[in-house]
Amino acid sequence: MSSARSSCSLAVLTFALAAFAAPAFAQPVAVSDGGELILASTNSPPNWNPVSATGDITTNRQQQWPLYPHPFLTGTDASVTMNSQFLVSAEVVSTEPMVVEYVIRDEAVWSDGTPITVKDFEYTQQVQDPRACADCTAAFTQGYSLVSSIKSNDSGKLVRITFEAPFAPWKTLFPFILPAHVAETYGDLATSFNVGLSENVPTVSGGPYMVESYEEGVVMNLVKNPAWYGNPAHLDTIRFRYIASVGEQITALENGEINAVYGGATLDTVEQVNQMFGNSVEIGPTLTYYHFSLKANGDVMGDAALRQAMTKALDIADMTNRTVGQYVEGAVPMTSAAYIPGQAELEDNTGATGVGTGDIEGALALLEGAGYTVVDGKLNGPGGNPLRDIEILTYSTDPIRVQLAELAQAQLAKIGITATIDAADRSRYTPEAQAGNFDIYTTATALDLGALSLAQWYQTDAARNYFGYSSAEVDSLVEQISVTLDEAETARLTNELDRALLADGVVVPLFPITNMAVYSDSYANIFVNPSKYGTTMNVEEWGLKAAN
Amino acid sequence: MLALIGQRLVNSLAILLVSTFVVFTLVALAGDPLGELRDRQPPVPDNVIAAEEARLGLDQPIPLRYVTWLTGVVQGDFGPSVKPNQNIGAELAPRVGVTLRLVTTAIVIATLLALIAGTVAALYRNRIADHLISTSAFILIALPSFWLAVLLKQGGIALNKAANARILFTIGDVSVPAPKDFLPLMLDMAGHLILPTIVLTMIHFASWSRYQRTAVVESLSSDHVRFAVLRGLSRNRIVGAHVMRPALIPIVTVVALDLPALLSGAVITETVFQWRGMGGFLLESIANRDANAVMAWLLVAAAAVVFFNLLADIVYAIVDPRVRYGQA
Repeated sequence: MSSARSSCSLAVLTFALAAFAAPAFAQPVAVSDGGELILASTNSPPNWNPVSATGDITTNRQQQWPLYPHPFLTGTDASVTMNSQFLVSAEVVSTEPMVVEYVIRDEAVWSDGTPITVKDFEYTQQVQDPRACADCTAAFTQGYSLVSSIKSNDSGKLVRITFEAPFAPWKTLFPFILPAHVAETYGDLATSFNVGLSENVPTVSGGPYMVESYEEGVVMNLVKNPAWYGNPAHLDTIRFRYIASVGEQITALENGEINAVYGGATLDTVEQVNQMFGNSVEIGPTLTYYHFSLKANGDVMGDAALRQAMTKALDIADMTNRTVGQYVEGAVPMTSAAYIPGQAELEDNTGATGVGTGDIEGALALLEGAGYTVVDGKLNGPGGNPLRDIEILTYSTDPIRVQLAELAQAQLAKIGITATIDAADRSRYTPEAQAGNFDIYTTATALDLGALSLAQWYQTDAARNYFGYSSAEVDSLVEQISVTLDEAETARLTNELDRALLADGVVVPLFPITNMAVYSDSYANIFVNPSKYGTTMNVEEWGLKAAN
Repeated sequence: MLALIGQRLVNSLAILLVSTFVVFTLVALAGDPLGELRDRQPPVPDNVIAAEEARLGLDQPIPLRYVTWLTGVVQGDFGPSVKPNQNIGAELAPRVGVTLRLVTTAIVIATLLALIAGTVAALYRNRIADHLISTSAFILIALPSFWLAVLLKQGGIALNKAANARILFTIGDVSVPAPKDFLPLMLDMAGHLILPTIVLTMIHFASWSRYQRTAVVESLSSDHVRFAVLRGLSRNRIVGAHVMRPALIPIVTVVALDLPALLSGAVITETVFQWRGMGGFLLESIANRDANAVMAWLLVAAAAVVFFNLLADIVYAIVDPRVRYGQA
């Protein structure tokens, strides 16, 4: 997609399914070999270990993706497929106990010539399993701690992993496979993971590119990995240039100091790129979406009828149009808390439960049925006393979340509810939520883990269940999903879980957060990737457009 | 003089000690540096959070953390940063260098311009030259530096497009990759320096020129200048020897007071032009709730305040004989 002016390419984009399906959006075009690309990044790596707690941030995952082997890839349509450049196969070969078998391609080697084998899987599993390494500061341990054994064949290219209990989202495991032979040189598991791989710039790569040089806070230079075993990479050099502000990144792009910008789309940044010439713009949804979550206990919010009326009165489509709809053409509201628009498994669960429809009459009818009355425009509780003010907690540094809280405030006023907004900065936002100091929480959820992403909020006593919410039905569905390996059945159960949550009035999904890829017209194949790993997932396809 | 300097240094150290405790406490109370880690999806394991708390000393009471920090600083260790791979001490030195490079040129140009413009405006008081200079200065003072910087960047881009060459740069202090040969490298660095220097120069020139104008006006109406006129001295000699010299004292004071702030980071200019200087370091440290890093910045800033105040005292003595005679 190229254009004389950015807005031309922007105009043809759609936000959801149509955008996913458009071949020009996802299908690589012909590019020539050679050249370099400078891509802006807001952060330099906080450390070099992308699966450590400190290193597992969006910008770092994106920068380091080209340096590691990955069993699965996320497409621009959010579908997950096996990475055939790295693996011959990856499948569940047994369900009781659950056994997953990965077969690594014989050609797959690290850049120093060491074969990528079961040892690398073993190391990567152990450092993320607290039973094997209690001191390893891994960001994520779920699934790894269920592994009971890892076996192989003589070549080490077969990886046979047996789980103590089924782990349905097994494809999310091993997003970065760490080099065991390099780790060994740093010492034991904890030392190698927390210190060796974290503090040292990677010298060995298992991906299409490797680090040539790094200047702290200024630039990371990647060159082709000569031992790369996958589809040949096209660009000779990729440079990550660290520019903290997306606005300044776009100005630098306009001046030709960098070639590409990738990050969150906002009204300001989209307007800024619309004024530019000679660049292509892709805007697409991510797997992270905004939502309101409602407290489910306490003096007021413990009443399911009130919550249900509130979720019915809120208008998802209106909020979408008034926020992201101002700068993304065809922005599509969420109809589910479990899937984003465009995913094959998506069902209209908000429609089925009446959540987020802006149905004021329906909401008032629900309230009247539960004994509430509206007197002089103010809602009174079943006892006749005026309902206290409802507090909406939002995040002051995210203008969209603040705007969403304001819209909710206005929409709730239509059913006689007075809402006050607590716009907390970064230091207060999470602590206030953890303390339960809110009635409605304006937040976002990343769906990379599927139903597990919902479980972290809504399962009884879950880590992020700040709502005092507990439902036997929801807990049961989460348990079923976590051991279901059939994808169709998982989708059915997940939609059932979604409807149960919506019916309980604890969540109002709004719309996906959008990302934006802006790059000089001379380049091609840089896409918005909805996963948390970012745009570099197809880095070997990037290149300068081939001459016609 | 030495006794005076010694006394001031002792006072400064006492102030520094109190201010470090106050700032340390404020930063420590300002928020949770692990907030982002605690807010991750999926949640980070509890033992990892606990390990980070222990590494940063967050599991200790604030007074104890302060004492630990102070003990470390005395031994040359600024303590752990919220960014695990960041050595605060090692990070500071190059950043001071970058800021120095950015502000030195601007200060020199701004001071010279302010001296000239302020003096001319005063000598031609209430005439066209004064009105032009004063109006320009007021406009520049009223302009937000952020807006001026953004405007200049757009101007630079327009100039580049008109020239069909990249002469002016909008980010950083040198291109990536940097030119390898000496001359192209120097030209490249100059191209990066021009726009931020203009911003800093304009901002400070405007306010400093007002001080200079006022000082010259006061000097012109003083008895010694009237006496020089009565003596029949030439205009140039009166201005050079009897007006300008005493009029330097106020601007020396103003520049001396502004310099530490500049050296501790031209925060807005560095941010807009993405220079990795002290200003950027401060902003990043505050955003990360990184108490140790903020404290390291504070030490540099405080040292700059002490140094430049001393320097101002010495310059007073040079430009004002009364100070020297007073010492004698």
